[in-house]
Amino acid sequence: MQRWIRTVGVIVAASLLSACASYTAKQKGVEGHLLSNAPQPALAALETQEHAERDRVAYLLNKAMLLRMDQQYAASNEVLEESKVLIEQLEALSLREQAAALTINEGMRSYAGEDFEKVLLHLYKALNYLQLGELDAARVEALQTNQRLKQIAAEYDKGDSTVYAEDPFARYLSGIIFETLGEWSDAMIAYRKAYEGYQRYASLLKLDVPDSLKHDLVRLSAHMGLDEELADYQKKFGIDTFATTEQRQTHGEIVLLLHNGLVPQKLDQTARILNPANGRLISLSLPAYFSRSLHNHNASVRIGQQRHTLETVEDIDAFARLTLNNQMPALTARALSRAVAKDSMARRSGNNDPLVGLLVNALGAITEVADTRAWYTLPHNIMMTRLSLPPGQYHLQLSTGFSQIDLGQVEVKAGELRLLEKHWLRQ
Amino acid sequence: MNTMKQLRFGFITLVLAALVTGCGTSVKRVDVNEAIDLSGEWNDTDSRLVSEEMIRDVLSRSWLPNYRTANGNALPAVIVGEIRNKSHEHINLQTFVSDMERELINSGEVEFVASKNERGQIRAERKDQDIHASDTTRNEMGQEVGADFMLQGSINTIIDQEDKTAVKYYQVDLTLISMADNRKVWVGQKKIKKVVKKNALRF
Repeated sequence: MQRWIRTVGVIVAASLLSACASYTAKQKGVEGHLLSNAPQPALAALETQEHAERDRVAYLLNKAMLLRMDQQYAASNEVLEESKVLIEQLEALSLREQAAALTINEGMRSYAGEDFEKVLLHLYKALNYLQLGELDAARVEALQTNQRLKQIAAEYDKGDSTVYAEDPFARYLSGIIFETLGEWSDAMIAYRKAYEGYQRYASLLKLDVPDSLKHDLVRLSAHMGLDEELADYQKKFGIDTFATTEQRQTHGEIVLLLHNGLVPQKLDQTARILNPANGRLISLSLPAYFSRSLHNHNASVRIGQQRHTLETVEDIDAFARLTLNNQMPALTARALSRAVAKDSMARRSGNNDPLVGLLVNALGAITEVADTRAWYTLPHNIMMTRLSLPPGQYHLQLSTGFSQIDLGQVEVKAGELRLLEKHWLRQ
Repeated sequence: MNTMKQLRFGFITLVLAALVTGCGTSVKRVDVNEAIDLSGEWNDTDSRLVSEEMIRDVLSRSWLPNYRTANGNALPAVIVGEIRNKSHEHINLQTFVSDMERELINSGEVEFVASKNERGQIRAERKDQDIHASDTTRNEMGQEVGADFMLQGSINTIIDQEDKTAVKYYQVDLTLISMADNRKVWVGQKKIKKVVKKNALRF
């Protein structure tokens, strides 16, 4: 009988140990390349990594981000689409995975992305389409962003800044897409929602309403003949003169985005205590975020003699922290109940055979690892400037706190939107 | 002894389960007209149904006999312009457009002109013929048939979702516009409504 129990024990142990190393620990190689601004080797490192099927969404999201850093926008979108389909399938509850999460560790659940990551998936997909010049396809993503935010709001929204239920920059980008297509009312709605979002999360994100958004609201309310709203915005924002929609239509537009730094690192925090009463080990693991230092707090772009400052429009770091903070009570409760379950399992097996009891106790401790899976290639924040320019050739130079980046020659055509992006991660 | 039996049984079940899930891909051929809905998104069936119905409608309306009487029984030349995807989904408009082109051409009621992208390639070939082809087989430039009407349109959606159930409403609008005077000679509309229920549980 003991022989049998031991055989099964060894099989179970072998299958469980593969689930033990924390996800973040496995990503060190990729991160090293990322921090030296080298997306290609990072991509190669990610692709050689083995990942469990339940970690696939995290793998796909990270892969898509590395692909777009390498300017492979079409390939990036294929991968994002795959993750989108997978996330939808994973939204159904799996009792098998729930049971495994309650008895082994949280990482036994399939990773379906956090809410803010699901919204950013649409945002980055829209940006990829804009890079490819497919404005209608970017519009599809804008509509899906709205759909996703509606779904999140229906589930959690309390109308305040204690939960993630609105994404001002995702709204802002949707507005830019609609406005470029000449769909004024949709653009106006999106700008308004962005404005409300920035106000709502002002204390959390420590962001002001971007100046460019203030001008967009004024310009569009004037164009649509919303006189009261226009007067209200002009008074609030102190904007007297502004470029009208008609004036801008003879111009083209450059939207410059700086994807700045990296989201905080999710690390495993494990406490192991030896219970002096019975000599058994009790383990508790929880994830914790560690912010990375951000080097670019200011950025500006120079065109000829003119210098335009980039504004911070999105703070992913803050949304990531908010999300984890809200999950902590449930994560802690589950970690405690797991510790109790594992301990009672060790006690019961120890009653039959002390050796097996020891083995079960050790296994329980080793398998207790925090779930640190995340879309860790996301930036810390996003900075933006919108430049309305007469048609022609322009030379752009981006200055960040430490470096000058030549963005090269850009052609601006009337009525067209040209998206320029830079991922800047170097520490 | 009892525990051992249970353990052995459990172990054998595990091995069997692992073997069963390892079985290969299965393929079943189906008729192309069979409606198979998997994700609830726009699919080949929607594309086919809409294009068939639209074309049946456009060919049965008065603009066609009106044009023929006014032009000595000549067939109108039609071109497909821009069909915009304004829906919530990434729809392959190419299959939808070619479904419609096929139905229109095969009806024999209208003539069809190559679209903007296709024309470029044909013109390049004609230019090439001008230099390399023999006199008897050469096709001259400047002999193209200009379109009399252009077909334009869009696909729109409205989605209403509550928890795991979504109602998807598609509206396809097509307009046939006279190239001579911008008159809209026909407006077609087709609506599709689907209720999509997602599973609340998975394995």
